[in-house]
Amino acid sequence: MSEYLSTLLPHVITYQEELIASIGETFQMVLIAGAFSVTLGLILGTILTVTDTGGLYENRWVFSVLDKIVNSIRSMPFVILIALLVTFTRWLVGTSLGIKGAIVPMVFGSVPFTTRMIYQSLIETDRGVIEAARAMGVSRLYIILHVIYPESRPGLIRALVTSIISLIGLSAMAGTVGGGGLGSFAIRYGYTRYWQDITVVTVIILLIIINIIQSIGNHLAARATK
Amino acid sequence: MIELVGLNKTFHTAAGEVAALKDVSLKVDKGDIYGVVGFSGAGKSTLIRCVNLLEKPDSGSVKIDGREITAYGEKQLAKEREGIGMIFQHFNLLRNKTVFENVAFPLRYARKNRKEIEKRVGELLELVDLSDKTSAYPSQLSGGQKQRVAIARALAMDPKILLSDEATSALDPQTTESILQLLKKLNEQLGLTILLITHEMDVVRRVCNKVAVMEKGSIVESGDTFRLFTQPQSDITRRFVDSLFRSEAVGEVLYEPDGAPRFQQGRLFHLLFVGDRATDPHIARAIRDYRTDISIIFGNIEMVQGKPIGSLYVLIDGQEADIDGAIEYFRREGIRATEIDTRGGDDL
Repeated sequence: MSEYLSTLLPHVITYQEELIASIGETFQMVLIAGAFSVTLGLILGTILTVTDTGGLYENRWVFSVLDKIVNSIRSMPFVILIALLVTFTRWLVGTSLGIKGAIVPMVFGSVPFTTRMIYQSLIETDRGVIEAARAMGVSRLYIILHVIYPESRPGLIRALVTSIISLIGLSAMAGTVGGGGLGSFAIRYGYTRYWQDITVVTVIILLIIINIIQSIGNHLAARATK
Repeated sequence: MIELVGLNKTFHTAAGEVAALKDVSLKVDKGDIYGVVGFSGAGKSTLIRCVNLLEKPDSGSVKIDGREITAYGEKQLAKEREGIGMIFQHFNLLRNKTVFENVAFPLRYARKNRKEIEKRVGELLELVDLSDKTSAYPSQLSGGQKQRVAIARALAMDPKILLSDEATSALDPQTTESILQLLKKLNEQLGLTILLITHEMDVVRRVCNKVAVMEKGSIVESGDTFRLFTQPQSDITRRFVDSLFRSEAVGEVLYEPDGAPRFQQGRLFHLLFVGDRATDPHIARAIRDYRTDISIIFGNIEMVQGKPIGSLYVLIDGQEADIDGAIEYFRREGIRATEIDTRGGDDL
């Protein structure tokens, strides 16, 4: 069996320890960047929702400025964003390389996307329900926390899953410019040395991870829908 | 209880300015079930939203129990709103929360303790007859049940006033009836003052003791429901009252399926009999004393505030002078007689 594997996937077997370490790195990058980007995305998405026309804290000015910033960053190709952020990343975490160096641009790359997704699910909240709560004399902050968030739970779960999956994509791209993780592993061995087995196995592992996350997310979202 | 004076509200939309309220004044006394009726776009929704200031009027005064609330800050207004329950056409329940949690929502906000909440929600669900649905989600309920949950929720903080924004408009006739009965019960048992808006005269007839008719942002007529039904002053009110007595059957009797009038002779009248007038033999007298032939096309009786109003569509044939005489006679007797043009055909 192991002989057969080593003929089929010679380099994967040789570098298996590094491969496993890369998977760990990818998870590390995605989780840390994910935590930041979901937190920031929730805050910014909430601000967009409540300042939008007819919102609880309607404010055209805040809304359009934030909306434009989010859209501009979102439309920037990620590789360019990494390059653009090099100095900032060095200043913030001391290096632009490795996991640490990758996390900063990953957060920047995914916050606008996450913000937009969260905004879209929050803004779906039935205006009537918000109005009913207002008619009861409930404060606006309480409405955000106890009406808008719980009512948007399925949408928020989907937004979370989609943004984590997009972060896996970003982590692979960050790998190409000196970050760690599966992306970097595939580039270093699979692409530059043309060891196809490494590329193929990396892709399969990524597919499995993404599918598992997506299924868990779908399941949770379905359960949250009443 | 509720006093609105000189309310004005104009919306600035992309299509231009829309005057939703034009100098509207309204007084609702304690214990009233006050109906505001009007076609869509008449400004009723804006009016009812001004009572708890979900909509801020451009000018005018809103007094609740004598307190002028238009100048209130957010905190004070929130406190005032606790005393004013509101229910809506689309119920506006929290989808992801159970019936219990929906009703508990305002109580949790008011930081009541767990025991108090359980007790109060139990009482409220019993009041609206939904004790068996405590742990159901709104999606598992029928429209009528959802509205009951919404009513229980609106009553949680023990308000003195209930605002009802087209609360029965999304419901079928039977369910509408049961919700209206519930509102009436709450009015009688809890002394709840209710202000409701609707586009259905039938709702007004069933529960309201007072009514105001709105058109294009103004109140054109208001007062005691029975009086308004029997002595409508304006065209729009007449249209609303007639909507109650109009029947498809009248048209079917009058016209052939191809639209040709079935009766070539005679004039069609709509007669409204009020209260004790309904029992006198007016038709017989009109036939005898005025030598007219009267055929009854369609008739029904509606109860308004427990008093009967009879409606008859009759075709009167005879000499012009005799027909006029008969109509004169009806009018002298306090019967409202309106001629309907049968040749035009599109009135029915």
